[in-house]
Amino acid sequence: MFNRKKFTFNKQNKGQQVDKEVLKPLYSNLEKNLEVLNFLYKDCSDVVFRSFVIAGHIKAQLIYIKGMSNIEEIDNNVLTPLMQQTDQNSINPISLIEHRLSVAEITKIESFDTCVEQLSVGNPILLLEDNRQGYALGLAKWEKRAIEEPSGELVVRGPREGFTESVEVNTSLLRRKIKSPQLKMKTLKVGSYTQTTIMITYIQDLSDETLIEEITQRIKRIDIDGILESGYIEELIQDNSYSPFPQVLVTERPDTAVSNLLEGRVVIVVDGTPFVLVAPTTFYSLFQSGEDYYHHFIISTATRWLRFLFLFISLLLPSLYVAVITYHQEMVPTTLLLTMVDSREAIPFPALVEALLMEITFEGLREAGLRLPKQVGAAVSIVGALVIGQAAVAAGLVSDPMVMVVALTGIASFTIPRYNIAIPFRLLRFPIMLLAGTFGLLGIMMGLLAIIIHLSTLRSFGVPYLSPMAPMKRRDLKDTLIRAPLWKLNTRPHLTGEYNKYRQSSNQKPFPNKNEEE
Amino acid sequence: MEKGKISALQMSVMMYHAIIATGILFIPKTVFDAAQQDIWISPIWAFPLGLLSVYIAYKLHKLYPDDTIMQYSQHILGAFFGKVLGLILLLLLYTSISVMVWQYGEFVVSEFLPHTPKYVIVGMMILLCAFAVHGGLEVIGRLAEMVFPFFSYFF
Repeated sequence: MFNRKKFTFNKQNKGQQVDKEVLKPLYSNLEKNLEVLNFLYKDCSDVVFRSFVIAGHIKAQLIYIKGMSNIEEIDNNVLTPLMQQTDQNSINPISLIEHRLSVAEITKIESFDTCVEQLSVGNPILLLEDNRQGYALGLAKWEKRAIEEPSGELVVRGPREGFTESVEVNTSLLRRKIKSPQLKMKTLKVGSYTQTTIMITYIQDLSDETLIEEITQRIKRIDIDGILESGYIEELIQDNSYSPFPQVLVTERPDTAVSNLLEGRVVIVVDGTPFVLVAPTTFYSLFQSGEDYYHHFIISTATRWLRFLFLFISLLLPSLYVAVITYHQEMVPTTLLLTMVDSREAIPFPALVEALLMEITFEGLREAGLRLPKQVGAAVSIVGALVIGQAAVAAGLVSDPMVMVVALTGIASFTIPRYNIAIPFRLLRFPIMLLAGTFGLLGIMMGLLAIIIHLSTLRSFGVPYLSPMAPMKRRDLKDTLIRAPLWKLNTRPHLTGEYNKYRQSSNQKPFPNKNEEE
Repeated sequence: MEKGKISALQMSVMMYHAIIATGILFIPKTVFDAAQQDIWISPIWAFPLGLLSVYIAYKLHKLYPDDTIMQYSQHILGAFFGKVLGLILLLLLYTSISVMVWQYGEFVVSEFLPHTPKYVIVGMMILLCAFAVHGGLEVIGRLAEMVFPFFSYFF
C-alpha cells in the first residue's frame, strides 16, 4: 500500500514534467530543441549529441544512441555529404537533405515524442537551425541473434528456421512465406516504459474482422509498465485466466504460424521473444505438430493416436496403478498379481504414498535438469538414474512396478508436441492420484469428468475449446484425431475460416495418366 | 435464465445418456420380476408408447416454439391448472433425480466400494453435477458429446 502510493507520487511529480515536454512540437530554434532533448536524456551517457555545420553556416545536430545505429553509414552517407558541401550561396537545407543523403528511409519529425520514439528504435535524428522539422534516418542497426532451429519444437522433416527476438526478422519470416499483400500487420505499442512493439498479423478476407477487432481491443486495454515476453500478453488477453490450460497457441516455428494464418487465425508477434501467439486455438490443435502435414497422412494419423494414448498414460497411469493395487486387485491377472505382491511385500508405504514420492522426485529431477549449469548436468543425471532406478528399489522404498510406471509416465508427457499443454496434464496427475488413492477407479472417473467439464467451459476468443468434437462439426473432424490426406482438406476450420470456406479446389487426388501407354 | 444454445445432436446425446444408464442397470430386473422368460416382448410393446410420447412433445413444441413446458401448459390449461401441472412436473423432476442419484449410490456401493459410506459417493457425484451445471446448458451439451464415444463403446 505504502509503496504503491509512493510510486504514484513520483509519477505525478517528476513524470509529469517529462510528459509535458514530450508532447510539445519541435521549436524552430535549434538551441531550444537541444535544451529539451538534453533535459529528456539527462544522465543518459549512451545518447550521443554531435553538432556540426553544413556548408559553413547552417548549424545542425545529429543525435543517436550508441550501439543502436550504423555508425559507418552515418559517417559515409550523412556526415560526409553534408559537411563537404561547399557551395555557400544557393543552399536550401531541406532540399539538401532530400537530395544529398543516400539513406533509404527518412521520416520527418514534428514533435518530441516521435523524436524519442525514433531514437529508441535506433534511428539517428538530424535537427537543423531555423527548421521546425527534424529528420529520422533509418539507419538502425543493433546486434541480433541469427536465425536458428527452434530448440523447443524440433522436427525430423520441415523447415529448420525459427523465430528470433527481433520483431522485424520475425515478420520478414512470415512475409517470405506469404507473398500476397493480403497479409496484414498492425503495430501496437504496449508497456509504458518498455514501449514493446506488438504486431497483430492476419490475412485479410480469411480472418474474421470482429476477431481482429476483439484481439486489438484486448491488447489495447493492457496498461502495464513493461512487456518482456509474449507470456505477458497471453496472460492478459486470455478468456479464462484461472484455467491451467493454455488458451493461446505458442510457437517458435514460422511454418506453424503461417499454417494457422491460412486457417483464418491471428498471429501476435511480440518484440523481444521468439515465441509468437496464435489465437484462437482449440484443444486438439495443441496436439498437432507442424510435421503432421509433411509426412504421409497414414503415418501422421498413427502418430496423432500415439500422442493421445500417451496423453492418457501421462495423466492416468500412476493413478490407475494406485487404484488397481489398492482397491481392484481382481483386475490384475493372477500370475502378475503374485509377482506384484512379491515385490511390494517389503515396502512400508501404501501405493499412493509410494506413487507420490516417486512422481514428485521425478518432477524435481526434471526441473533441476532444466536449470542446471551444463557442467554439472552429467552428475545429476547419474544421481537421478540411481534415485529413480535400482537404488530406490534396493533400499526398499519403492517397488519395481512403480519404477516402471514412473518412467513410462515421464516419457509419455514428453510425447506431447507442445510444452504448454503437457504441463497442466502433468500437474493434474497429482490430484487424480489422490482421488485414485481414496476412491479407486471411481475417483479417477470423477477426476476425468471434472477435467472434461472444465475443458467444455473454456473458450478461446469465442471458439469453444473442445471444438470440433464438442460442439460436433463433422466437416472439421478430418483434421483432429485423424489427419486426412491433403487433397481431402478442402475446407478451412469452421469457426475461424468460415469467411473464405474453400482453401483449394476439390478432386485433387493424384492419379496416373492412363492414356500414357497408348 | 441461461440463454445457451445447443444443437439437436447434443440434445439427443444428452437424452441418451439420461435414459440408458437407468435402462441398463435397473429396468431388466423390474421387468423380469413381472414377465419372467417373456421379457423379450416388453420392449416391442414399450417402443410405440415411447414413440407416442416423443410425438406429443414434438407437436407441442411445434405449436409453441418459443415457450417452455411451464409456459404453454398455462396457455392450454389456464393459469391455475397450468401452475398446478408445473408444480407436479417440478416434483417429478425432483423425485426422478433423487431416484437416479440413489440408484447410482446403490450401484457403486454394491459393486465397487462396499465399505465407503453412500453419502460420500453420492455427495461427490452431486458436487460434480453442480460443477457442470455452473457452466451452463452449453457445457453440459458439450460434455455429453465428448463422453458419448466412450459411453457408447462400453454399452
